[in-house]
Amino acid sequence: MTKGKRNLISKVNLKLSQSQVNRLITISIILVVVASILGISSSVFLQKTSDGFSELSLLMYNSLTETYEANNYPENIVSTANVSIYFMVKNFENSVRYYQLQIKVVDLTHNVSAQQPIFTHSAFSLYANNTFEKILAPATNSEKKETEIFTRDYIWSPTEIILYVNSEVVSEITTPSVLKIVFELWEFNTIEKNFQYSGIFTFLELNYGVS
Amino acid sequence: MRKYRKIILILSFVGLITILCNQSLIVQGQTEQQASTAIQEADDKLTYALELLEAIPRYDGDIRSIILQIDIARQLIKEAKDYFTNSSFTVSYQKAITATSELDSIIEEIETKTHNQNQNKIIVLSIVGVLSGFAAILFSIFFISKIYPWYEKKKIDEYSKLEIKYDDLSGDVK
Repeated sequence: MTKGKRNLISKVNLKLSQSQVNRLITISIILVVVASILGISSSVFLQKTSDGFSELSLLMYNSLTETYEANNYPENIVSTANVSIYFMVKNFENSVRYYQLQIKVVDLTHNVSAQQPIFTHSAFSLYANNTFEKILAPATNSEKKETEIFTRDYIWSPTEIILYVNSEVVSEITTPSVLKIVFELWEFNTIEKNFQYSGIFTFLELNYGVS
Repeated sequence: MRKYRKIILILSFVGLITILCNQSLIVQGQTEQQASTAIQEADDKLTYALELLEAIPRYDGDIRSIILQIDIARQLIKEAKDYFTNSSFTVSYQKAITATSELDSIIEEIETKTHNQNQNKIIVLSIVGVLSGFAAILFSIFFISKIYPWYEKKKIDEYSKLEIKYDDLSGDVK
């Protein structure tokens, strides 16, 4: 067969009639359906764990509205009157979490970092051993969209902490009249079998007085 | 004879009291060790339960209620540790044992759930696999019996429409 003949045959093969196009579409649909079944089943049963996050917040209780709000934080603390504050933790990770909240009192100038926790020896012993612990279920996709919710399986409901100062703390603080109360969130590591700093923290700066 | 009987009774009573006192001291001495071991065991169970939960692919309603139970067991362990710190070893031991017992049943429940979830996964994947295989076989049969013969037929039809013209001089096809 000459070159010219071969070219002609290939030209004829390229010309598709309407019925051929229909058949090709049918085959494509079948392939797409099969691929979709495989894709859906793999996405359902071989779930990829995307990165989640944990949320730590400080709240105040508003007795008028009978709700918690991230507002009206205390600014002063004196040794004769304690200060009440609430913390709340939400588990937006994709698996169960065993949380621990550590509270530490430091100088105002003390740097707080997401990389390293405040070492216990540099924090005053008043709160250093004061820890709270809770195991939380992860939030579902619909729960992740919820707002203004304070009680769910994935939420460490607002928990009251009574903050106080005494002469011992005041004597150790070098910054005049102001102290920093740091709230660090730690997570239990099942491999290391101990709590490790999650890098999540918040703090409160308070003017203090001994009287 | 009666005198001897009295003496024997008194001696037996004294002996019994001595044994009971010694026994209670031994029990008291053992409890601290037992409490410490029981707390350690409960802690290990808690870690294992968390490890199992971390490996679970889906957190349905049952698993979430299990997490709540684990948190209650954690609370018991914390109480056990607090009592241990306050030298209340007996209460500490009891709390730790209760936590361990609860965690044992929780672990069993998680393992059953994990097993069921894995089984369901295998069943569904098997069904999907079989259906896909079946679809592939059907498609192959359809292709071999219908599409390919139809394609061959169409090709022959198209070829039959070809008009071959030979150049008288060169003999090439136009």
